Amino acid sequence: MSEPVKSQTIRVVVNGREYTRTVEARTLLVRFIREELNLTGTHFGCDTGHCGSCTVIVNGRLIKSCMMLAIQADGMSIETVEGLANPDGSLSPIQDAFSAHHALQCGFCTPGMMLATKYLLEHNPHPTEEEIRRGIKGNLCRCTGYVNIVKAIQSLANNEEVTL
Amino acid sequence: MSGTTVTTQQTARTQWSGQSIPRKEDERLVKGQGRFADDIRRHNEAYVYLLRSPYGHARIRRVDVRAAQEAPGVIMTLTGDEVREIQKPFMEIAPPPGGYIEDYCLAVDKVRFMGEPVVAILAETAEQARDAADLVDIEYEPLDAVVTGEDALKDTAPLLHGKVGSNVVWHGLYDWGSVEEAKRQADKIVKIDRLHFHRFTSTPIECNAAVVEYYPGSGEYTFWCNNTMPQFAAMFMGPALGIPTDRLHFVTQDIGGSFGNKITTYVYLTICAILAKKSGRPVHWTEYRTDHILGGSHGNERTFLDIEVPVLNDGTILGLSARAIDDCGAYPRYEPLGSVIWSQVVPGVYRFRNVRIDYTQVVTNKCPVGPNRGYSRLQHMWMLERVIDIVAHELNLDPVEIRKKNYIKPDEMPYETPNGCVYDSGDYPRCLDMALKLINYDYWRQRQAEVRGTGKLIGIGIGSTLDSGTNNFGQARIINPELPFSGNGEVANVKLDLYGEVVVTIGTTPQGQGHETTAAQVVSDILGVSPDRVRVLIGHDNARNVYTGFSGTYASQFAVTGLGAVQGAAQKLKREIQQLAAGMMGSDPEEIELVDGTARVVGRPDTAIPFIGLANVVFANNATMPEGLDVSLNCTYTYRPPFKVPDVERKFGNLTLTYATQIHACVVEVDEATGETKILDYAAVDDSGRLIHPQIVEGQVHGAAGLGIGAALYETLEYDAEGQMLTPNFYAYKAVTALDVPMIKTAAIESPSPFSPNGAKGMGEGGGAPLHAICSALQDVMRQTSRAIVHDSFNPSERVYRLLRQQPSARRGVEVISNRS
Amino acid sequence: MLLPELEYVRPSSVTEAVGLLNSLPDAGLLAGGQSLINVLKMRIGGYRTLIDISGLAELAVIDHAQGHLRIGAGVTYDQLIHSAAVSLYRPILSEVAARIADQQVRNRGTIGGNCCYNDPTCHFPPILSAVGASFEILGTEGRRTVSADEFFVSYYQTALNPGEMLVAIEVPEARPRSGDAFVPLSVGGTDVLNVVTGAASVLLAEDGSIRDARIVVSGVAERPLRIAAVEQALLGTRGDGDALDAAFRLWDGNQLTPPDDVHASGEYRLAMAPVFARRAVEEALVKARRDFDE
Repeated sequence: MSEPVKSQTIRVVVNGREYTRTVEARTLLVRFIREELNLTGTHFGCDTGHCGSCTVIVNGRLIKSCMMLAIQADGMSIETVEGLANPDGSLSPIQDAFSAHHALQCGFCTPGMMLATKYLLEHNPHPTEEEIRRGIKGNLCRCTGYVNIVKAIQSLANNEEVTL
Repeated sequence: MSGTTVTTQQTARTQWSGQSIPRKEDERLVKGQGRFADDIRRHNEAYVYLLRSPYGHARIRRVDVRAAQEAPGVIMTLTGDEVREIQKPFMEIAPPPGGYIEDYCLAVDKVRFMGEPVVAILAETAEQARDAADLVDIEYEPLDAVVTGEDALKDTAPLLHGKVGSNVVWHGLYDWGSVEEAKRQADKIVKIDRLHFHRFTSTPIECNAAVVEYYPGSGEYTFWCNNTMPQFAAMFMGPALGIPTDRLHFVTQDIGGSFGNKITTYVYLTICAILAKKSGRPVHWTEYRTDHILGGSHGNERTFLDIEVPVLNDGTILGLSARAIDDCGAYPRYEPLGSVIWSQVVPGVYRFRNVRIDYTQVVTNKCPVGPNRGYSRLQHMWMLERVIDIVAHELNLDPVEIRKKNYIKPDEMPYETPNGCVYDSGDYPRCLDMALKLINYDYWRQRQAEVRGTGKLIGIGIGSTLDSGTNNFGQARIINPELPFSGNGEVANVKLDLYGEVVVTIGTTPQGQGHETTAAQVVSDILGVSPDRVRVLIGHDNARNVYTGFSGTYASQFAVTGLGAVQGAAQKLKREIQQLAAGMMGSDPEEIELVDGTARVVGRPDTAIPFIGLANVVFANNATMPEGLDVSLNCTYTYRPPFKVPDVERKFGNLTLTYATQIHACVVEVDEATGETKILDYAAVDDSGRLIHPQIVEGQVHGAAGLGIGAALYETLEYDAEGQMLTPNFYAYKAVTALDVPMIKTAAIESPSPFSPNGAKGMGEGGGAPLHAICSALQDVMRQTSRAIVHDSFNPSERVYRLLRQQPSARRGVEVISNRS
Repeated sequence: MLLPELEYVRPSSVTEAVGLLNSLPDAGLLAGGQSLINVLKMRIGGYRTLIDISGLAELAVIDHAQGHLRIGAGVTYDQLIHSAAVSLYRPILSEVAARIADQQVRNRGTIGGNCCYNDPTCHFPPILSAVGASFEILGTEGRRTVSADEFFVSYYQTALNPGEMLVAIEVPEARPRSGDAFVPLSVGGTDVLNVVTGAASVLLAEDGSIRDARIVVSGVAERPLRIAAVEQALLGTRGDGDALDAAFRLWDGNQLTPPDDVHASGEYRLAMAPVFARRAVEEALVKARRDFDE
């Protein structure tokens, strides 16, 4: 039978780069990403899983990294905001659309919001306005009233040329 | 005033200002490279955890931190008893007796609100600090709590601050014109018993955070933080810590929203400062959402009692009298400034000239308030809009017509209000017409009749508001004549650097308003370079940037004060460049133009000297400087609005420089069986004077509308009778999601301000118009059913359900008295 | 955000998970974690040792056999939404799952976790009661199956005994001429917090009259409440306005003491219970009648 552990060495691939670290069982994935890997583009804005600032993609699934333990991510592949830009550093279409449509003001919710957008469009390339709003419901923004975020996503949804 | 234009026809007055250029801030933010306060790391930093009061009001009998001190990783603890020896109580803005309140960074002897910090623990890791908190043993003696403004004034109310002798922070009578005379002239007097503006807050998604380091060599503290009004913080912290305020070095970079909520964090920064000095370690404090809602900064809650409105039969409102009780929570902090700030908009957008408000601010066992988007004006303007709708409702007048009848007319601009404020420009009727057109008003009036009896009810509402920007801080003297403040101002520095780079610093602390972008636009137009070539340094840093006592980002003023300063500094630099280039070319400074990053004789590209060449002469090659020139290429300018000190006795004077207009209109659908309210359409028309960056302005309009919609229907901060906070996290504080903010329709007109240096008006806060518009729409629903009065600014389904079922025999809280019957 | 010290173990089978649950002190199961981890953050409860069952493939399976869907307790909301079998045999479960929280939560939260948490605002307890689900429980003594009416005991309490775990939920496939509906009263915005939920499942006879009805409300009592009197009164009727009026006159909330909290008063919940129950019946009837139109 398996034995409980207080800490464990885990291996994760984040934005294509492999990391091996020892983590306490109690460490949340968001704290691991920020404190251990120093990838501070992943934020947190609440302590109940509501705000979505800590959103990342783990093994292809959009999740909130404040409701997953780092130890659970052992062997998994993680994508954070730092992995969004094109390899040459230029902005990806989502990043570009958010900027062009003024879909960010303070920029704090933006990393999570863009990852939610990416997941939405990968699973539903032509969402309706209602589907867009449902797709980002788990990401709170206090600056924009969501108006320009929805517009930015609509611009991507209606664009056949876009490769996310 | 003339000069109103529709922005869609905007003329290209300048190359960069007025254009929605890509924001300079965006690239780092969309790449996750923004640097927010909690992202800062200092070598060898230690972590703070704050143990907070579980009680709303209790005496602290005993605090035992021994076990916590022995816990793994714990470096030290700090208690209120220790703080009392180290810290002087923070300055109070109120005069005595309200000024006798003693406010420390940790609770001393008593706790006065749930969430008040009681013990600070510093440990090697954040987890260790948190774990040790479970080992602290505190004995409390619970005390009766007071949780409403009205109860706080009762003789039997528990006292929060014994030295004050009551729970009153400040009281003042505001009386302009003659309400008594207006009542004599009126056909009717509409009396409203009570209106209540609820407590909510903007909850920026980034909570507070700080890394604080003490350097014994100079006695300087450095605060990497997200405070949005650092010199206000310094004014409280310097005396409290017994050090010159210039030893307090604030650095802000990206800030994840504030909406005013991050102005009063000096209390927490003081805890960190004490720990940093005592421990000799950089200390890192992270506030989580529950901490933030319990102990951050709430919006002011205000109750209006005994409202009397003299009116003529045609709906002309002659004046208004009321009592206002403002609940500022357990400690005033920024308050009682809100007790005067509302008077920037005494009549709102209306013409009546007789106003008497008996205003009292009290403490209660709730979280202290702080400025919150629309600060103190939105409560008052909400009351005014309720009054307009209730008068229309009771006298059976059309809500649109009564507004138009009472609006200040465009040809009356600039308009002096009864208390001496000068509304600079605007066209309220036109904005209203545009808003009604956007929601297709006639269609919905027809639909409203059609859906009656189907179980659905439609209501149409209007919110007419002003966003008063650029405070005259002299109004603080109306609160406390001893305060040495007046006017306002911001400062900027624009320079050419060693290699000809254009570098700008400002005193502000932007949180999404795009200051780097708009400052660059202004500089670009003056210096003839593209905004890409203008580097605006990120954030506030009082060891690097220039600043004034007013520096920061609050109170809708950057477009006027910040850009006014940038404009002045850039113009100074332009003159220096012209002098230098003219000297180098042997021509006249007036003949030099700046084009594409060069200085040249007008129309002669062959004479162009690039900025690097000019910088080289001044900074690295100065033996070649033309004779007799005194240029530094490093220019600072302080913009000061033309203010006078208000007349404290009469409470009279110009309290703000600009008045942006926001007129909102909305359509709601109410489910008669359940009270559920859905927004069917929403429009916001704004007049923010001359626009520097239309897209940013529109974004602010959207954001203010979103927060207002949330506050009107979903968001409330509630306490029970013992002062237990019932909504301490996002489970219970239901911050509005993307599903519940509709596509806000917007339109704008531009009435340039004659008073600001660029014709712009401050506009970021908005006037809380969604609260007014949604209440107005619900009143329109009640008009068709129970004739209940919408008496609260917060209307969740349950409240709407109850209003719909209010019996005709029930006391409605409103009465119309005929004067000449 | 700072959890208490924890121990963590990841069993490789359901049997091993049950073994660990029975051998470790103060141990609990970590499924999707979308509630449990928040409880741990607040340090108001939870366990010292977490047994992580989120990776157990055998819990994440949806089968269809012999007129029943068998849904593993570890099936996520997102899996339910995209399951062809669920969409075909009991589509209401997909529809309900789609209204839970948000995409992120739906990618991790599980139907089993939702049922075992059994908060009065949870989505699945009322709808599973309405569709007559049964719950497969594994303990050291073996397997047992209980009905929804038995499973949901009281606030945050289920029929699970210490050392037992929920392994699967069985839902009968929808029959011809039947319809299911889920109509919540959400406070705080659209699909934010369901303070009262009406759920219904109706089956029509060939003549269009109501042959069977299961009507449930949650949010007014310690467990999802079947409204037997209303169900009985509707049998044999055509479920038209008059029949519903007559049936719902039998609704009696006098014995109930609904929660009275910052989200909604008990009085309001009580008033809303028959409204949402009735709306659920109406919606279920509309769906059931579609089979006649086809």
